[in-house]
Order: sequence, then C-alpha cells, then structure tokens
Amino acid sequence: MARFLLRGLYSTVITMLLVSIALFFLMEAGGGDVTIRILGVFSTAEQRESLRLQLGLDQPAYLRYINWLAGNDWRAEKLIGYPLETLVNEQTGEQEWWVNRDGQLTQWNMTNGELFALLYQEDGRAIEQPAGDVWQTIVDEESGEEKQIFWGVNRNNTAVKWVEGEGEEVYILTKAGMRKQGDGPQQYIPLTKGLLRGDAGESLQTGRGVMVTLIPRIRNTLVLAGVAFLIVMPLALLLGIIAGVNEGKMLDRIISVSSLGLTATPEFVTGVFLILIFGIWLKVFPAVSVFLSADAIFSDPKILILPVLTLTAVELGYVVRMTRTSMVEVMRSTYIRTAIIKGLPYRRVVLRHALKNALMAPITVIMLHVNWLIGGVVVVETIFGFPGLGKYIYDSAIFGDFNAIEAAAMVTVLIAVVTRLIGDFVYTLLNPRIRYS
Amino acid sequence: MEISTISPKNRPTCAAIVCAYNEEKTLANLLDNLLASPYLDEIIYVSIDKDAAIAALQSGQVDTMFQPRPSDWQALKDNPDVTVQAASTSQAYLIRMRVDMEPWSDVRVRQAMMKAQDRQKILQLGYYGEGDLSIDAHVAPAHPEYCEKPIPEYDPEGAKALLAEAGYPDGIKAVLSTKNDEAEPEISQALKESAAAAGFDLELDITDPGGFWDRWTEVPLGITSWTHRPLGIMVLPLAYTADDEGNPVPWNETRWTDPEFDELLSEAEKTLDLEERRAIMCKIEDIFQERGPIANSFWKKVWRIARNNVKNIEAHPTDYDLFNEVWKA
Repeated sequence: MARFLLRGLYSTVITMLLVSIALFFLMEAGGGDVTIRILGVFSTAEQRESLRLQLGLDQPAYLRYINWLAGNDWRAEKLIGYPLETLVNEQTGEQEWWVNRDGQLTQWNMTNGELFALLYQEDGRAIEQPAGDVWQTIVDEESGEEKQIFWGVNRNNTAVKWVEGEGEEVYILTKAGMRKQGDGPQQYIPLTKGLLRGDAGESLQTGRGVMVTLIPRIRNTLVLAGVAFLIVMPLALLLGIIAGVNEGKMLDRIISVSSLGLTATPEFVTGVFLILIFGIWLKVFPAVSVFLSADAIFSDPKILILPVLTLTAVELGYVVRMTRTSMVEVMRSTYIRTAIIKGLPYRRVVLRHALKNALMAPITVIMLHVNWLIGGVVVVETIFGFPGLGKYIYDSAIFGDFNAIEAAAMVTVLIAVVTRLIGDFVYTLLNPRIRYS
Repeated sequence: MEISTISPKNRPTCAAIVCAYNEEKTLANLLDNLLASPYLDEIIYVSIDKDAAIAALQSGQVDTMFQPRPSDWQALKDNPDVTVQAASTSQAYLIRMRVDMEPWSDVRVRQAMMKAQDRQKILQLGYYGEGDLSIDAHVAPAHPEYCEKPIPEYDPEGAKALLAEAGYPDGIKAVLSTKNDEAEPEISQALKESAAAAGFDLELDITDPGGFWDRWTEVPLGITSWTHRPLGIMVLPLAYTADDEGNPVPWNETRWTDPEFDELLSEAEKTLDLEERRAIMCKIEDIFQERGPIANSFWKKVWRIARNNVKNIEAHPTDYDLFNEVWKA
C-alpha cells in the first residue's frame, strides 16, 4: 500500500512538471502580445516595449520558466549582495520585497538623478533618505568604460539595476495611464519566489497575485462540483441498478430513454431552457448566478440550484447507462445464477454479490466526471455567469496571462491525477483480485 | 463592472417627515417631502457576462445593465418587464478616405463615394434602424450647435457621372478595411452593395479589432468607429487639422487639411454663443460636404435598458450611470 501511494505521488509530480513545461512552450509558440491587452490598442510601440521590459518578458523563455518554477530571488540576491525578505503590507494585504541590509529593510527610488533609500520602520512606515555611497564600479564590456551601477529593489517589488548618470526613459503604468519618466532602471527582474515555494506569481490581467483570484474561483467550482456530484452520483447509480435489474421491462426503458435524452441535449440548451422555464417564466429559482458578495454561494445557496440541475441533466444519462450495462452483464454471470438457484433471497444477491462487481465500470466514469466537473464546465459557468475555475482558465487563455494559466493548469492536473489515484484505490476495495503490490 | 442593481429601501421614514417639518415649517414643503420618494440608498455593481446579464435582467435579479450591445437590445426590446430608452449620440462608423493617396485625392471621387451611400438601407442593415441619418460631416444632430441640413439622397447615377469626369468611366476597385466588431461587417456589406450600383467595386478586408488598431490610420479606405463628444468642436481638431509644422495630427487618419476649415474652426472654438457657433458650423458642414474626406450614413443610438420599476432613469450618449436622482417604485 505504501509503495502504491509513493508511486502515485511520483507520477503526480512528473505529470505536473511535464504539463507545465508543455503549456509554457505552447504559450510561447502561440504568440500574441500581452502588452497590447494590458495597455490597450492606443499605446505606442515604445510604451509597450517599456512595459515588456518591466514585466521581465524580454528574458529568454527557459529563464522565465525557471523563474516561475523556482523563483528568481536567489539570482537577484547574488546581484544585490544582500539577502531579500518578503513581508505582507498590512494596509493592502499584498506581498512586498525588501532588501535586508544588515538588519535594516530597504527599498530604493531614483528621482531627478538622485538615489533615495526607503528604510522600513517598526510601525510599518518607511523613511526616505538619500542613499549615500552605494554605487559599485564596473567596467562596461562593450565600451570599456568605467560605470557606476547599483542593484536594488524598487517600490514595485522588482530587482532593478540603475546606472549612474544614465537614467533610462521608461513608461510607468499608473491608474491614469502611462506616464513617461526619466531616471528609470536599465534592467528589471520581477521578483517571485516560484511555484515550488508557494508563490504563483502576479496575474497580468489583475496586477495582483494569481492566488488572490484563483482561490475563490477554486472554492466556487469545488462547491458547485461537489453539490452536483453528491446529487448526481447516488441518483444515477440507483437508477442504473434499477434499470439493470429490470432489464427489458417498462421501467428500464423509461429510465434509459429519458436519461439518454437528457444527456444527449447539450448543456447550453438544457441550461437556457432551465433559465427560461424556472427563472423567467415561473420565477421560482434565481435565473443566473448573481454574486452580490464574494461568499454568495454560502450566504445565498439558491443561485446554485439551476447550474446544479443543468449539470445533473447532462451527466445523468451517461452514468445511468454505464451502470445499467454493467449490472445487466453481472446479473447474467454464472455465479449470480448459482446464487439464485441455490436459493439466496434476490435482494441479497443483488446488493451483496452483484453490486460490487457491477460498480467497477461506473466508478471509472464517475472519476472522469469529477475531472470534467472541475475544469470543464466552462459552458455552464458562462451561461449562468458563475465565477468558476473553468471560466478563469478560459479568460486567462484569451488574455494571454501566463501566470494565471499555469497556476490554474497545475490545479487541474493535480485534481486529475488525484482522482485517478482515488479511483485506483476504490478498485482494490471493490475487487479483491486487483492488488497493487 | 457590467450591471448595477439597486436595493429597494425608499420609503419616507417617520424621522424624515419630522425633520422636514422642523426644517421647513410650511405645509406645502411638508407635502412635497412626503410625496417625493427619497432616492437610492445603495448601488451594487455586479460583474457578470453580458449574455448572462440579459437573463438576470429578465428575471429581475438585477435592475439595469451597462452598455447593452445591439444583440442585447434585440433580446430585450420586446420584453414587457423592461423599458428601453434610446439616446442619440455622435457615435458613428465613418467611411474615411486617405486624401494623400490615389484615387481619393481627387475630390470628385470622394463626392462620388458620398453619393454612393443608400443611407436608409445602410442604417437598417447595419444597426436595425436605430440611429439618425447623417450628412457627410463629423457634426451630429446630438451636438447643440448642429446646423440642420438636408440629408443627401442616394444618387448612383450622379456618382457614376462624377467618376467618369474624374477619369474612371468604368468605376473604381478599392479595398475597404475595417474591424470585425459590433456593426462594421454589416455596414461594409451594405455599403458594398449600394456602392456597386454607383461604380465602386469594393473588396472587404475585415480583421480582428487588435489588428485593426495597428493600422487604422494607414489604410487608403476604411471604416473607423468614432465615439461621442458633447460638442461639435471637440472632435474636429482631433481629426481634421495639422500641427504648427503642417503635419497632420496623429489621429488625422485621412491626412486632410484645409486652411479655410482651420480658420472657421478656430473661430468656432472661441465662440461661446450657441447661435453664432451654429452659423459657423453651417459653413464648416458645407466644406465637409463639398470637399471633405469622410462619408457617413448615420449616427448610432445607444440604449438604457432597465426594469419598469426603476424611475427617472435616462439614456446617456456615453453610457454614464447617472443615478443620483433615480428611485425604485
């Protein structure tokens, strides 16, 4: 058992790694300029170039991948010469990066050609004072001249390199638009701890951490999927068993045909009809999922009813049919016939002997459905305006927000592999002949 | 942010009546305060896709939506539970021609294009008839200083004659570039048909919006969407003038400049009196129609769609949510 779990863990990690690499390079190859999406269509080429530099998008692909996975603060620390620390700003709740210069947390800022240091105080304020003599002399490779450079961390959580006397003209993205500014740094390294240490990076679409948006989305989808799962699966298994046991009779035909009909109807058709009938004409349920607060799924669970009904309708037929077929096959097997001939009560035969064997195939399907429920219900989420994981992946993919896509993909892969492992485990429970030794 | 919902707390409270009486101390004022419903207490903006917003509006979960698209308007216009109001704007899809390129440098060719528009049909096909017909100038009836002029007729024969005069007896082949957005594809199709009878053989080059904004100032013939400005004189300096060195300003997509126009425009910008400015506008519109670089069929309307119990709400040409004097019955 232990070896089984270890092998499961190992395969999970390998799968996630391979998927992340493949996805990263797919996005590279796919192209599309994310800076146009951030800045809008009226931005000039210079502004976009400046933003690309500031976001670290000019670095080669493999380097950006390593930054995403393992972080780049260790690289920045080597250049700066002092350790880096993060702390959470009390007012904004966001993570900030500071340089620990002999116990004093510092950031820097350049104005009018002069370098200023911001010193972090105990009570959370920062005092600004001239930076003093921090410049290092290096010899420029190309021109052979001596230059004064300085590596520090600026107010934007980026490790930057200033060159004395050569303030670059950069465009800073503010709430009011792009502002041109001299005294800009020559090189940018946007700091991140990397996914391995729990930092999913900054979302290009929102400008805040990916986790800030992703976690509520995961929670919403888990609740929706969980409720749908808890309703559909017992119902479908029950109906499938009844249909299988009564093979050929009227009950079987009614169950089979109606569930197949429901599954065959695409979810956008079912969803729209449900909205129309129950939300608009009869007005018994809320038509779409209007989230009046972030926790609306808990405070106002009625918004879940129609999406869950749609998902139920779509999934029911598939599982019912699988269960029915499996049940029919098992009921025809010789050992069941023996049990019946030997005189065991019919109900006992079905429940204690046939059921466990009949459930093998449906469990596979159910595990696949869990997968689909987590990431694939984009259509249902769009129809009902439900802020879920599938919609998040779709919106991020359209935007080109690689941090968000990678993080969401990792979540999806993780769930996929874990459900597969759970499925494998359940097989061993159902069928003692299968052993993972 | 796409929809707003308004919470229903708007009955006068006893405290309000007492306050009113103490402050005003006259019966007339007291009655006024009793009869007038206080305005909204809370406005909540809910972020939701516009397609889902239509269902939310129909079922009453939200009270109004932001910036309905033509498809949303179509879905909701016959619904008895919502009221649709339209506002005239100076938003338009201008047919603009580069005057520094052949054949549009010849003013007769531009005039032929202006005559080649079947305006009523283009409005019907392009925007469901929800718009005001337009003369070929960038000044709209929605502007306070608009000078009323007759809408030109569809004149394919006249257009053909002008083309022949300009040296194109067999008509002109041209590429019409625009973006694949709200109404441009339909308008291009309608224009292609109506201009075909006038001797223009238009080939449509429709790209996605991102790609279009990279080259909107470069194409010889295109359809550009311009948004609304409150005064007629606000958009003219953006698009039809040159800077001090004589170079056309960045948004002057047609590269058209005219000294008489510049003079009239700076005159108009200094004139505060509406009627005097209108008189100057008459001359400016004449210049546009005689030798201007654009052709325009209609000014589109925008809509405010709200449920019937939302009172005193209005449509605004730039979709402002002005809810300070709105209440719910």
